Amino acid sequence: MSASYAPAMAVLWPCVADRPPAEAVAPASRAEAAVEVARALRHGLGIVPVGAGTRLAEANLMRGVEWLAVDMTRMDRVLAYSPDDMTVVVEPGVTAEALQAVLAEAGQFAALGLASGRGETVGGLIAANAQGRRQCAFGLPRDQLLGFRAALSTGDEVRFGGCTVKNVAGYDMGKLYCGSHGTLGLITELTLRVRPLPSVRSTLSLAGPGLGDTLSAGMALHLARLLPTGLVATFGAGCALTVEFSGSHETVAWQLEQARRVSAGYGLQTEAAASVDPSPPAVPDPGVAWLRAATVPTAIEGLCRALEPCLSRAVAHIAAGLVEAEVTLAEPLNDLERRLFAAGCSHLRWTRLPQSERATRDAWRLPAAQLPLMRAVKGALDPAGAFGPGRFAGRI
Amino acid sequence: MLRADQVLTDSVEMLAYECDAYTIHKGRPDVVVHPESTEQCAAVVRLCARMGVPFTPRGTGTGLSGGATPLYGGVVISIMRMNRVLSISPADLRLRAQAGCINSTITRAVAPYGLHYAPDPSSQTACTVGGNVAENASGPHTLKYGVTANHVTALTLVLPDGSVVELGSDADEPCGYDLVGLLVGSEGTLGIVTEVTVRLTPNPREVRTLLAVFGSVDDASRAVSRIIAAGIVPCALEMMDSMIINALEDAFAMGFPRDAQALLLVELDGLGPGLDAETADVSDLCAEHNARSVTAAASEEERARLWFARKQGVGVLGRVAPNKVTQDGVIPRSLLPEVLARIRGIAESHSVRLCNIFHAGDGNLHPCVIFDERDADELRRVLVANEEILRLCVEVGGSITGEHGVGVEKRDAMPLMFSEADLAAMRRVKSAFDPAGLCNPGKIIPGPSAEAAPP
Amino acid sequence: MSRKSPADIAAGCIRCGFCLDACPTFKLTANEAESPRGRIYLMRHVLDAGRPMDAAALTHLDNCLGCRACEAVCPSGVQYGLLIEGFRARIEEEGLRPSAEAGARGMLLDTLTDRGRLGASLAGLSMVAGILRKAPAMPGLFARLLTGGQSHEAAVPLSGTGRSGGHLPAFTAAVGRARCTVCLLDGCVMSVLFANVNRATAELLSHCGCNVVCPHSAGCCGALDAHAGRRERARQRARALVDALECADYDVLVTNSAGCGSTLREYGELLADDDRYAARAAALGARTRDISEFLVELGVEPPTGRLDVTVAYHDACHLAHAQRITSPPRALLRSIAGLALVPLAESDLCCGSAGTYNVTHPETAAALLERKVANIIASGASVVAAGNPGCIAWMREGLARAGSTIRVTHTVELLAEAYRRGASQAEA
Repeated sequence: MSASYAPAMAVLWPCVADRPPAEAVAPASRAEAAVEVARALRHGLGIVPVGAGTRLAEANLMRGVEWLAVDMTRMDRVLAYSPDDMTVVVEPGVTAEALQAVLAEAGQFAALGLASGRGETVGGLIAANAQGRRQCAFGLPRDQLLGFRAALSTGDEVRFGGCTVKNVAGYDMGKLYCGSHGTLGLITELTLRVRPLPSVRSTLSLAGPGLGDTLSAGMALHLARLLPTGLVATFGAGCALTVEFSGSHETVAWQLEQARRVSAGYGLQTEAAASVDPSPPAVPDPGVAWLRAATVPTAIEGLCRALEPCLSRAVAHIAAGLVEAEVTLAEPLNDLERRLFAAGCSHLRWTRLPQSERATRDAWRLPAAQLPLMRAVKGALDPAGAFGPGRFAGRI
Repeated sequence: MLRADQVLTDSVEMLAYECDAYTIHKGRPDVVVHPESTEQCAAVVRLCARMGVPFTPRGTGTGLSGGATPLYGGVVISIMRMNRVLSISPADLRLRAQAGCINSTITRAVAPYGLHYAPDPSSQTACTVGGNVAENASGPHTLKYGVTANHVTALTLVLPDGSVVELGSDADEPCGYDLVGLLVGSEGTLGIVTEVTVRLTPNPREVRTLLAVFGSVDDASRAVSRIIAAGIVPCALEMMDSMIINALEDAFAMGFPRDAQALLLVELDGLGPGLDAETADVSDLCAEHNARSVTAAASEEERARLWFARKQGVGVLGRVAPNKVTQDGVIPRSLLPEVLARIRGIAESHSVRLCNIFHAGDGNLHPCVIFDERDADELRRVLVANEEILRLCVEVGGSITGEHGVGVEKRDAMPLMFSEADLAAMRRVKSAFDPAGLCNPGKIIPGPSAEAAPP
Repeated sequence: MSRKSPADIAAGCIRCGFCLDACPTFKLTANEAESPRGRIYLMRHVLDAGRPMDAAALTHLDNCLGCRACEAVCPSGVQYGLLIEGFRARIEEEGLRPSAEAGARGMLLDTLTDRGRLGASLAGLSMVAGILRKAPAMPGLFARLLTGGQSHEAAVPLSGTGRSGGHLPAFTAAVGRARCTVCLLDGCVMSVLFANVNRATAELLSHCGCNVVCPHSAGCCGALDAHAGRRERARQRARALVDALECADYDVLVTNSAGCGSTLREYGELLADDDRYAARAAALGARTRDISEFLVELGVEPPTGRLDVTVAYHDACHLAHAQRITSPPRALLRSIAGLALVPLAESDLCCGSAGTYNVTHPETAAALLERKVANIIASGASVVAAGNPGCIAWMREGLARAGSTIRVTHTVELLAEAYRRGASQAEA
């Protein structure tokens, strides 16, 4: 076990399970990871991969299972980087910052998360399929993953996909592992596509007079045929609309000009301090919950209105059709869910729940009809049911 | 359940359905049905499930790997009468269509809103969106805009037991396991997709299309590598070699120089400002690699003409020889010059006629071997050369297929890329959806499960 | 002339499927065996395996409209028209049809392609339809179709010659200095049912500076026979026409009937095996132009008369697909002041007329007509222009049945009217 590991787990384990891990290990290589998985299988332990630990609380609480915490942060190497092919092969424990630093030297970047300063690992971002503002321009982590290796509960290490930007050989298993929160196997290697770094990235933040105008201006920008690499409205202490453009000096300057003009039409003229998207803490706070509600751009305003009575802060990714919010527990969460679905929410996840709610509330709110198939997929890829049993949607 | 005109059983009609655009493997169906709704499709599948009869979904049958070929007979379920656009939400960039809707019909339907559907396979005027989903189809503009998997958010799926499930939603973000992502590219082996929600893309404000003429394939492929490495992201970067150029000249008198060894078709799009500078960069890079000329399309008509040439480029080979095999290997882009040279070597060593027309920008090669199947020795040499080219692609770290799918054509080449454990995991996923193994049996995965398909 | 064997032509099909969405019968049925690719596959089966053609396969080949929309989109350049006509010839030669049906088909073709008989027996022809297929609506509909050329034309509120029927004069002099001499065929169907289109064509050509000769010895070009698989009959007619026209002195052979134009252009192919005629037939084909194409090539002054009318243009199959002529007629229509040319959805989808197809396959033809009529009505046009007599008559029938007042006319008639108005304005 790595020296730095135990204290973190001492704080984080309640995000994962109803009991601390029976053991925590930190393999340094694929071979070591395979050994640990095999050992856990032999001892009938549940297995939970852990990266920076920032998103462990997004999945359901594992109950009644003795488990092994597998700290991936020692597997943090960039294994192969071919700037000319615009692909990179990494171990999952490398932090997003470290990877971006390597890529930046060759004038490239991976469209994975924002540099949050929280030490998030690439494996963690893939497992959570978590993306920040740039989703509207580059898609989700699922759209960056080209191939991967994983240790399965069959005792095998498998490899799917490849290292080319196009590849349709076999089922696209990578899609399943993105957002699987470690429940289908232990990812041990990832191949990602990378992109050229733009010469300029520039952000415009404007203070909004109110929720309605701010979102209307946001929709107008969404429809303005510009190419923002981020378009978010933040609510909390006041409203702000933030738009990011990337590219050559010329295109960025032109787009900023257009964006100012469009926004001014809705009364957004005062430049605000660059806004930071609110992000939930690794360990949930008591008294609040965080949710992530997916919808389409035209329903964003409705969702925000539905949130208003219990909203403490939120970020609306307008073009991506996503609202992340911190809400108070002033009313039953069921009532809020009902309002959100009535307002056009497609599905939502409770990414942080207070301990009182975790035992009873599924972190995923999705159509129940899909659950049998998901259970079958889980059975196919994790036949021993070893990886985070009960952690996934529908307590799969 | 179905009207008489929705069911075909005549033996002559069955003959017409024994293959798609890939003709080496064939399978004669016993019945072909044309459901007109998800419910009808589900009813047919339920009947097949109850009677233990294999079934194979089929769109227009433009597939190049035998995905729609009913290897074990049974029922072919054609989606061609489910061809309507169901709804369009321009502000949300979404369109919902029945699976039998033709790809280009979508773009036509949303053109009034200044939008288009980005995946643009060469067969886009014929192929269906359901078929595109099955094969995870892509096209020239995939380089910048992504493949089908990046453009589908929801599906209606008839499962192999005949039940119907809605997967995904209008939202960008998947919820739970990304079953939509799994279904895209599953080649009709996990169920039958009957409706699809796709993401639409705003038309670019400005487009620049360049044609660069090269005296050698090597120079052209080096130019491609340099353009990509320079951090330029063209929306398309296509290469055609001299055999294609001459076939196009014979057929359409395009005005291409017949002595050119390679043409690069480069398209850049964007907002306007800065685009000319980027276009000039591409032009300079081509010139640095000895391009004989680089010209920009001066009008929309000229641009359309260049794209016409590219889209007809494979089909035009029908004028050169009666048979062709189009390969679909993908390689890391930096290796393009080296791999093209080695492929040329393979062709020469087996005396086969080979030409190249492909998506150079993403390393997706389409070496076309042309031959006359009536010449048995030539056919034998072609098959050997094919195999060597596939192995080469895998050896340099690539894939056996970039967009055509595995189907039956490349099923037995899967072990080149995947271990038995990898294949076993795929088999388990297949069984999770289709425990009885009735849905498009014999495709993608080699080995026991393919052989153990129903009688 | 080197000719590809049917097997070689069929082998050119790489099964890409581009033709499927262009094929009217596939669009209606979604049946692969009713698609060009499927039909080629069936033909290949016969050609390669040397099997006899069975009745079921025959039906699928028979159902083909011969519109050749597939050829226009075929990247491999498969000469589908040649292939299917060859097969139809084989069907006729091998006597694979029930004899009553064969007899009725023959009678229909003979009558349509013979001016004398056509004029005399319009009414009797409706019987033929009855023999060919059980089609409840057909006999009456067919009779109206055949007479439609006259009855509807009477309703065309354009000025002009007004009179239907009758032959063109043997010579019409150019207005002003003659730029060239054009041979205009009187045609068979055209001269009886569309005589005023012929007169408008001659008038137009004359107005545009062409001397127009019309050799009355020239008969039917054989198009209907060729399309129906009566290749021997078509060859006889072609030889006769080649002979007849060799006596005439002209620069260009102009036709206003798309079906005739495409056949004339393929004379070289039709008579390729005839040593005496092959070269002469090919030469005749090379001198043939559709009227719209000819006027655009000639470069004529736009008409000065105005026609305030909204027009949709229908692409006749044998113009758009067989001859690939789509922009000249539109350019000519656009040159008319006041005329608004509106887009017509599926403008190049066959209307179902297809030579004698509307008689032999009334149900499919009616389905296609219904689709065409719906598209025409949706276009918002008050006039539909087309370049083929069969299409014009058939669409008139369809629109009349739908209770529409939209008129169908030949492109040439609109042009001639615009020139006529310009001329009378100049006089006034």
